[in-house]
Amino acid sequence: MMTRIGKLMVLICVFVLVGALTAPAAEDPIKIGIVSPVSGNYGDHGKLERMGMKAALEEFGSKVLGRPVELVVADSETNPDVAARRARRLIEVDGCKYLMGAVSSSVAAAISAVATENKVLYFATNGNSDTLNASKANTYMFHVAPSMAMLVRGGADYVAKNIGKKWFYITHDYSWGHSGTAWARASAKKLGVTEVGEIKVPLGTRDFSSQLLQARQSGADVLVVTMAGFDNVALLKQLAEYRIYDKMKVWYTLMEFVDMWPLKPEQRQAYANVEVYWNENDKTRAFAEMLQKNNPDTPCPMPLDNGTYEGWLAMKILLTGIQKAGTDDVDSVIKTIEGLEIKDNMRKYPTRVRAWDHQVITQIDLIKANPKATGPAMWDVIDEVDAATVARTKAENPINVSISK
Amino acid sequence: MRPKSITRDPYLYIFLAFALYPFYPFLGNFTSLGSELLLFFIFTLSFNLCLGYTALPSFGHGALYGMGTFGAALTFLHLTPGLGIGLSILIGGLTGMLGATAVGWLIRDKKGIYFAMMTVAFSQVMFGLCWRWDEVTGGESGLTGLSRTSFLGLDISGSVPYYYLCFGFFVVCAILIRIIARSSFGMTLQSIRQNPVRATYLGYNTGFYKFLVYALSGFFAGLAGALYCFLAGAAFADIFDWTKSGDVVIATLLGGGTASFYGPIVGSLIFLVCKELISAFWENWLLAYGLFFVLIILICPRGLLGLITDKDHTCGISKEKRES
Repeated sequence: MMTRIGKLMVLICVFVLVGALTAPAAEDPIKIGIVSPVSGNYGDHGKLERMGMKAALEEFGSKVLGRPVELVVADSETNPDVAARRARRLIEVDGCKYLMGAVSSSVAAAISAVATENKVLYFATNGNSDTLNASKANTYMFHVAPSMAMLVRGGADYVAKNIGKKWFYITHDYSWGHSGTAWARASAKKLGVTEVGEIKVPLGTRDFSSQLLQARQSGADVLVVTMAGFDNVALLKQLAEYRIYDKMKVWYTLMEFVDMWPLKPEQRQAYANVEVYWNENDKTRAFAEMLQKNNPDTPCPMPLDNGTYEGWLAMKILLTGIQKAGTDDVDSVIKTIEGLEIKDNMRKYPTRVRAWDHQVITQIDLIKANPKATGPAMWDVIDEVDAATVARTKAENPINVSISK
Repeated sequence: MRPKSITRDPYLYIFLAFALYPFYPFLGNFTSLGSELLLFFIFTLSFNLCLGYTALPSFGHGALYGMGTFGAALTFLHLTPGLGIGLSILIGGLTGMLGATAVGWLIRDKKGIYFAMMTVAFSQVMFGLCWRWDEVTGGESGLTGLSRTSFLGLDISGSVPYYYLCFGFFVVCAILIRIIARSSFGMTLQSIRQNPVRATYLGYNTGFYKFLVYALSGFFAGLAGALYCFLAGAAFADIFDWTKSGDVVIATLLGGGTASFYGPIVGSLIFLVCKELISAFWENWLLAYGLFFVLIILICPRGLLGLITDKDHTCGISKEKRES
């Protein structure tokens, strides 16, 4: 029996090897590895960001420096350990010099650790945590999505001046949620806003009846919400069911189009900070229409959501960087990207890449959902803020990860 | 061991196959997968001491692995920064053991489903703690900056040297775990699995034996977790997620942990390698993966090695055991 197990081991090894040998070998094209959720809870978000990346690549004719560009997709499963393994595969087996993707901040931090170890350039596309360009910042990572500091401060001013000055917080009870509330609180202090209460909600909560009752009775004008994912979809529905909108305004520190789209029109009434809205101007409209035409299988109509835009932007920054550097050498590309400005980004304000914290800065929109709207034009943009005015300053975030420091 | 029995020993082939891993074409480039495989072997072998040998359904074993990871990571970052990783790995193992000791003592006499639920609850508590305690564990964004420097003075920053470090640990742990499994202690465990009431009447303190094997298993799981954090260069709360505990159960059952000592190794090999290979070529790989798992369980409910060993079984005792 013993030798039979031994033989089986040898057989398995041979089987694995033969399977592996038939795999394609690495060669000439510039390879960009995308670690992005293909399956699971965030599969839709992953699909959107990959859609954006492909669109940007097509703008460059799928080529840079005369060499074809190949995208290699690996499923992150929204799990840092799996994502790190997939990132290592992209580097070790596929020979990718550039990585991109991640929907959550923990996945981004995990991939970033792998990228740094292998000296590979990584673009964190869709995690909003403040740590990504503070304690977790490093030379080999650019943070494309706005941090919570930018998002919250981008909307706080308008909300305090025009909507209400008594705030009640509902927060997802982990670091990301805490950071949203912390920034809102810091802004509130400056703007003369009073806090009337706070509820921290554990991850995985789907029934908000007691929390909403408490919020209703608090006498607040504004309910400040920092929640994400399926919990948030449940909360959005219950906000309407419990008639919270009759009592107070609701302001989301971050909202995804794809999360609010499944609601009935009359259930959509909140204010929210977003990174982009497809109906912002003619260019974004045209872009969203093009995306919809080219991708019949999208999670929402007019699929230009936060993730799509950040994916598009990351790819555009990378390809522009490679083109300007004239080489695909990672360190030279990082040097070129630091301080890069992109004007044709479809927005009111240009995109800038800060050298010292590797944060990409574009613009924050404050939107109001319109319950009377029909079709995908469910939001109205009420304020556009230049993200440079709300991003953390050097004094607030004393780090320097620039490659030429 | 007699020379003849060495050539008949599956470990010889396993060790040989993995000693040469970095030189394999294609897969050899993916050195870190090899390291991860070896660590997963240690993890599943230790887990099988509980499930396969003692019939302890420790469905929260990922918690012990995670405790090892965080124990090592915190030691490395706060107690021994700049020094080698040797001490951190040892402390990681001990942290896993500590977790197992604390929980194991409380639940040593719980049976079946109750034991399983308690271990799952334990891993959820650890997850909650880790996910929320930002100051210590980094919360959502975890601990990073675990750049492995040296081990006992050897430079292990490259992926191949680290692979061989993991290989060394694997060889030692694998042999130790088999010694435990075949010792009189291991035999007692098997008697507890086969008939706990009878074992009690024979005078064995079954609760104490269960506690001991759980603690030992925790040590090896913690060790694997500790080595893993230096492979990843980071530690995240998600390691305590129930899916991690699920993975080890699936891998062990797939290979046939209840049928053979080597089941967990075969299972983890298939579990990890197939997952990586299929997911590289097909977006909807989870579907294929799920079907594959269902098929295996339908065809051979005792796992892959069950196909081989069950032929040798008479009256539930394998030929191998009757001979030895």
